[in-house]
Amino acid sequence: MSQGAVQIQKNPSQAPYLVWPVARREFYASISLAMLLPVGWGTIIFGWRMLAVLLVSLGAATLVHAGLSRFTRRGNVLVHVHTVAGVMTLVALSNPQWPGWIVACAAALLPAIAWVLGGPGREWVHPSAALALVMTLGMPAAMAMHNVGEIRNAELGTVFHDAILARNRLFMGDVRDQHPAPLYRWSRSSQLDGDDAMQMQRPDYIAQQALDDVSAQLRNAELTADGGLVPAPKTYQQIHEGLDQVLVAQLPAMDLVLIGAMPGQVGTVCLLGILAGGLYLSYRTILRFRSALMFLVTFVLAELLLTLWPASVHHLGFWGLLSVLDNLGGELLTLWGYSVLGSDMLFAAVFLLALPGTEPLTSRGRRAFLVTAGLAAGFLHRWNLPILPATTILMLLMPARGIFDLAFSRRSWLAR
Amino acid sequence: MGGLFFGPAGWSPERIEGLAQGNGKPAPALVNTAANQPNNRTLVELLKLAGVEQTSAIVPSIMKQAADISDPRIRSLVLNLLPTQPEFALPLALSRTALADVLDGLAAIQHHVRARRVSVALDRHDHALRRIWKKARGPLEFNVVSLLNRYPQAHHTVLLRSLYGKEVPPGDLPTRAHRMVVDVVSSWALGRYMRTGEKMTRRPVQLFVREESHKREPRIVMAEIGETVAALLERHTIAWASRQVIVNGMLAGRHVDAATTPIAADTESIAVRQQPAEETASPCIACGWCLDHCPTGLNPVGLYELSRKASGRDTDQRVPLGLQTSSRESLFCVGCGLCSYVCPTRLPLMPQILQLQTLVARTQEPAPPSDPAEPDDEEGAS
Repeated sequence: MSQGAVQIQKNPSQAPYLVWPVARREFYASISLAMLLPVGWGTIIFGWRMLAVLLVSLGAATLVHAGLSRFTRRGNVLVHVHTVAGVMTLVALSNPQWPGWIVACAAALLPAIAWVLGGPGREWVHPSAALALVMTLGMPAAMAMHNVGEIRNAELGTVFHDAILARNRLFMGDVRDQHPAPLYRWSRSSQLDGDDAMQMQRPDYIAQQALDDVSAQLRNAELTADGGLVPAPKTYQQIHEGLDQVLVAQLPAMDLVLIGAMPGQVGTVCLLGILAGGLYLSYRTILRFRSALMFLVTFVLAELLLTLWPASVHHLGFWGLLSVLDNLGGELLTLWGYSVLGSDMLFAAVFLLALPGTEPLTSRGRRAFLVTAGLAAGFLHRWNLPILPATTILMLLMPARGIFDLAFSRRSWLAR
Repeated sequence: MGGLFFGPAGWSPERIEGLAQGNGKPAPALVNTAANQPNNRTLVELLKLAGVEQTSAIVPSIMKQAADISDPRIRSLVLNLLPTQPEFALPLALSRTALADVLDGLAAIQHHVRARRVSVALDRHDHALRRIWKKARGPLEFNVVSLLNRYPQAHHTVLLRSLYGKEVPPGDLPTRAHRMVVDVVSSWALGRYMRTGEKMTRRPVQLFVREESHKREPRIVMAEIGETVAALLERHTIAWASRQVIVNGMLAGRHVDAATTPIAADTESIAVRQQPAEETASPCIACGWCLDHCPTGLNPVGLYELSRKASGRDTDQRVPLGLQTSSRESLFCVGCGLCSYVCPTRLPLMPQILQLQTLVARTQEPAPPSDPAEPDDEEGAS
């Protein structure tokens, strides 16, 4: 909503004479504070380098902010806590292997972008999240350059070669000093030939690859008549053998996933930390609990619907699908769980939705927006692309929030 | 429906300072003898005799409602004990100290309007008030309806929607929906008149004094109608010079000059506080809180933008209001002030919307409200 060039004074002689104690400063400060826990865990699991990146980024952004505020007339539209919240979001969505100077440069751009756009509330997308997405798309090459000594691309794939620190090198280790390791075990550095970090694939990538394999096997499965057309026993045997390998030897224990001992973006891996931040923001009424829940539920449902690809479901038919659920249901659900929890879904639902302006204003518009975003993000995630699906979809839909408002808003109940 | 839950007052008044029981003679026979055919005209006469006019800033005048009744038999009579502003304990104080008068007043109104049902609406969480009214026995049957008191639940537009699902625009009287809403002071003043014959020349007023040096509890005192606010404050040793004096609530009240403003029949509260520092509003950050809290489902920030354009502050040319259907929605603003209260960027939403409301009312006739009179329905507490 534009304000024009007119400076508005909140006249203390006009009602209301009281104001809710959460002003714009508290709004952004609370979001920054809530991000401390997941980002703090990120510095532990990915090392001191992340803390350095965070501090340098904050310093760079603050310097630019101060310069613009002091030396330009338009600088009075900038709000420092808004800049800080932007930097926190950017660092939280950063890959720990990105060169720190690039993140710091991007952070320094944030106040400049806000300055150009006219301050908080004027942006079409959140610049911090948008910059993180751009870097995610453009950075694998840079990452490969930095890790060229140790990466075994042939074994681990070219994109998802992430890492976490060995369990005896937490915080103190260098996440770029990597050695390939299986994900199911949280190794010590001595088991990594003295290196600090274990290089591995993300659990959601492994889980989705496994689901793709199961889908492909079921799509080509021979169906036998056993009270209806169902996959032959040898198909199940082959699938079980493949899943044993994945579930026992590749995927980490679920408790490690929950505390955040898995590779990923700095602020997105610690699910418990994000939940704690979400509870705090809900308590401050900054995060709409229902919005977060609606986005999460639709995301999860979309992933559930696409656990098996539609072609496989079509090939199996009703009885075949029932048989698959009977024989593989539990394992598929476990893989689905890893896939969901390894994504940026929870971070986006808590922190991006808490940032003002992400959602439409009206409650009906908001519901339609969140359902659309949740479904789209779930589908996008299932494609296993090297991007942050929930963040990407929210940032893509954010400029269209006004359209959702227009299409779905209702008039006052008195006017109907 | 929006609104904000403030909860019951954090203090519990035991008495009203200066309220004497009164020992005059009972009121003339017009009140409730069988000789007088009870109807709305006799109720209007009775209210005139008792001097009861507009006694609340939010609840419509009982006199206007009585005069508006075309069919004397209305469906429901509601005694509104919900707080009209946060921390407001006047209904509790009157229920504690003058319950008989309140009940008698309510019975007199019921005698004349012959409502099919009498309800007492109160805050679900105000346990003290609820206990009093659950135990109350008087000359008429009534049921107690406990509502989750989301401010401005006491406003008749919101109250009638909560109780009966009726949509009565802010400018209309509850009698359009064949309901009558009575505030506690009207009922008390009428009951008192019938018992003692005393006209309503004084009324209870809640005083809030916010001092930085020490915190004082609010109190409820009797004020002479017509005396200045300054005289009342001085009588109760409250310093008001160089302070801000606000009448009828911090959310929807108005800032007055204590020296010249008289206590009116609808002066429910007076707040005295230090002059606050002026805050500069900043651009909207699209948090949506104003929409979340608007009790009538308006888009306050949209109306605010429209108002600014309409008043020609942003542009040289005014927006032709007659063409703006959305500007007509400003007519449904109840002026509760919640949008401005919650706005984190401190935009003066409510004053601008009320300004737009005035403009719209001036330039066009309001939309004819749909007839809310429908078959009788059950009360539903929200």
